Order: sequence, then structure tokens, then C-alpha cells
Amino acid sequence: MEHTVYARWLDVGTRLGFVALVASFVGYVLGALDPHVPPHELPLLWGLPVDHYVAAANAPTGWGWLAFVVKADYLNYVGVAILASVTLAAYARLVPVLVGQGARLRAGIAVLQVIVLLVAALL
Amino acid sequence: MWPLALFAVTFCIAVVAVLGGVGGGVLFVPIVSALFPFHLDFVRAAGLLVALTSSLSAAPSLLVKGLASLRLAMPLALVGSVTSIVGALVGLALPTRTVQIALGTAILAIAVFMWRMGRSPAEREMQADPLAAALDMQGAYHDDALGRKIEWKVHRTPAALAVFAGIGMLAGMFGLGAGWANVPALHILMGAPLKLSVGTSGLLLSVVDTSAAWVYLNRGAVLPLVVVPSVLGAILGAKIGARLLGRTPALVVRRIVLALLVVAGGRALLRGLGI
Repeated sequence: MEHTVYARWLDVGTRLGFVALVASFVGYVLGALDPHVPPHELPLLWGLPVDHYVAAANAPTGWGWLAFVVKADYLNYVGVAILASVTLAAYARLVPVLVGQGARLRAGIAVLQVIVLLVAALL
Repeated sequence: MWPLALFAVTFCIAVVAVLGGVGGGVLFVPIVSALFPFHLDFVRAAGLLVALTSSLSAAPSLLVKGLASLRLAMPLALVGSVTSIVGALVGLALPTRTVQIALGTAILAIAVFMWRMGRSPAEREMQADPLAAALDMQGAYHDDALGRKIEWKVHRTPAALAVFAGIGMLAGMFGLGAGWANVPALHILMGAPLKLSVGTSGLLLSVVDTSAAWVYLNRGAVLPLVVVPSVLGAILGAKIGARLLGRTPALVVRRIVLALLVVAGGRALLRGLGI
């Protein structure tokens, strides 16, 4: 039961994230929206450590990319964020299933995993 | 131009990785960081997202077929995901040269480990340890090749938790997929059947790499021009590799993989040492 539920959530979430990632990347490459960092400037920046890149490109950190989501490069973050959230959502869905089965220890592990993933997402 | 080259290289890595029976994640970071001008921070983030997308794509069907087990994966993934966050934070905080030296050393150690890794232990009766029994880490799946139901349980769970803590740390610090370590830990150390170990390894990767990927994402280390061609190349390459499987000599390909690891690991080490 829990395998089926978890697999369904992973499957739907992964498809959604993958489609969002590919669609936004095609738009980025075709120039459908203006990027925050023009592609021709990237070769000057991608050899820098990430902290230096962020400072030089005035790039957002944390969830700051949400404010830049109308820019072609940061629109790609939507797909990445969906892919990085799929496991969290599937684990959260698993908790009531495990509680319903009386598997309280495993439900506790699932809750702890959700907390760990939330901490990672908010760090 | 660079994204196209990256797509081609990642495609080749994925084909070779499938044919060689290793995860592509372990090859991606050392090879791409050796061949491309991207800083290691961006390569590690891309490596994690490549491994994450590949494992997420494969996990649903493996779960439905019973070839991956949540019962087995959940406690190990919890420990591995905590340490992968720590690994990612440490990896991003250390100077690049230090990370290069550590990456080179780790890749060379992985090559030695893969070269020396013994054969599968013979199937034998075992007693589940108390922790595995308490966590209900047991189950059954139908093996189509054998045409029968395989019941499984595991042992040495406390040692395995310590091993997966180390694997998570390496995955987060270097952006490596950890299939090379997950499968032996599940199969040889814990005694899980090989097919279940391979399937559950992918499931574990999807959880452990998610945690570390968030750290890199939040630091701004995700460059779409690096990540997306890599992800597309890896997924397409894995599909082609799977079709070629059975038509190529696995032993030869595995030796090529080991040679690639030695060259890429050696190059990372030398770059870190400034040679």
C-alpha cells in the first residue's frame, strides 16, 4: 500500500518537474524571456566560486530566486525546485498511510525525514 | 557551444556507466570538472541534480515491482540525508583546492574499492538484528528470472547506519551519486538480495541527494546552462546504455570505467596540489 502511494507521488511529481525544467530551458535558449545573466556573460562568471559568482552577478540566494522567476534563467529554478520537493511531498503523504497501518515507528521516521528535508530547503 | 559539449559528454558518461554497472553520478563530477571550465561548485550541484533526476525517474517502477523497499530505505535515508546536508555545507565552505584534493583522493579510493570489491556473498540463512526487527526491515518480492517469491531480511543495521552516514557525507560534499557504495552496503554488509539492493540504492539516492541539492540550490550554485544539458544527457544516455546492455562485454567496460576514475581522480588531486 505505502509503496504504491509513494511511487504514484514520485512519478507525478517527477514528470511535472521534468516538463517544467525542459520547457523553461527551451524558452531560455530561444530567448523567450530576458535572462538575469545574459548567456554571453556566463563564461566570464562560471569559473568563479559560487560566492564570488553571486556577488559578481548580483544573483539571488535562498528563496530569493522567486523574485527573479520572470527572468529566463531563474524560471528554470521552478523545475529544479519541483524535482527537489518531490521526495518531501511523497514522504508527507506517507505519514497518514503509515499511521493508518499502525506502523508508528516508521511514521515517526517519515515525520523526521520531512523535517530534515524542510530544514535543507530553508537553510 | 559548452552546453552542447556538456550534453555529449554526459550522454557518453551515462552510456558507459550503465554498461559498466556503476551509477553515472560517481563519474560525472570528476570528469566534467576535469574537462570543462565550470567551477567545482557548479559541477557538484549539477552532479547532485543529475543523480537526483535519474533516481527519481527510476524509483516509481522499482517500487511498484517490489524491487525497491521503503522499509529498508527509510532509516538509512534519514541518516544519510542529515549527513549529506552537513557534507554540502562543509564542501561549500572549504577552499576549492582543499575540495579538489579531497575529491581526487575520494575518487581514487572509490576506484580501488570498486576494483577490489569481492563477489556477492552466497545466499544464506541469517537472523535479523534487533534494530532491523524493530524497524520491520523485511519483506518479499517476486523474482521474474527465478520465477519465485524471494523473502528477505537484513542484519548489521547499526553498522549500516554508520556506513550510510559516511556515504551521505561524501555525496553532499562532492556531489557524487552513491550507487557505488549503496549497493555493496545493502548487499554485502546487510545481506539484502542483490536485485533489491540495486533498486533500493536508487530510492536512497533520491532522498539523500534531495537534501544536499537544496543546500546547493539555496547558495545559488545551480546554473541552468550546466544543469539542464547534463540532466538531459544523463537520462538519454541511460536509456541508450540500457538498450546496448547485453551486447557489450561488461568486464571490458568496467575496466574502462575504473581507468576513467583513476585518470579523473588523479587529475583532480594534481589540480588541488597545484601541479
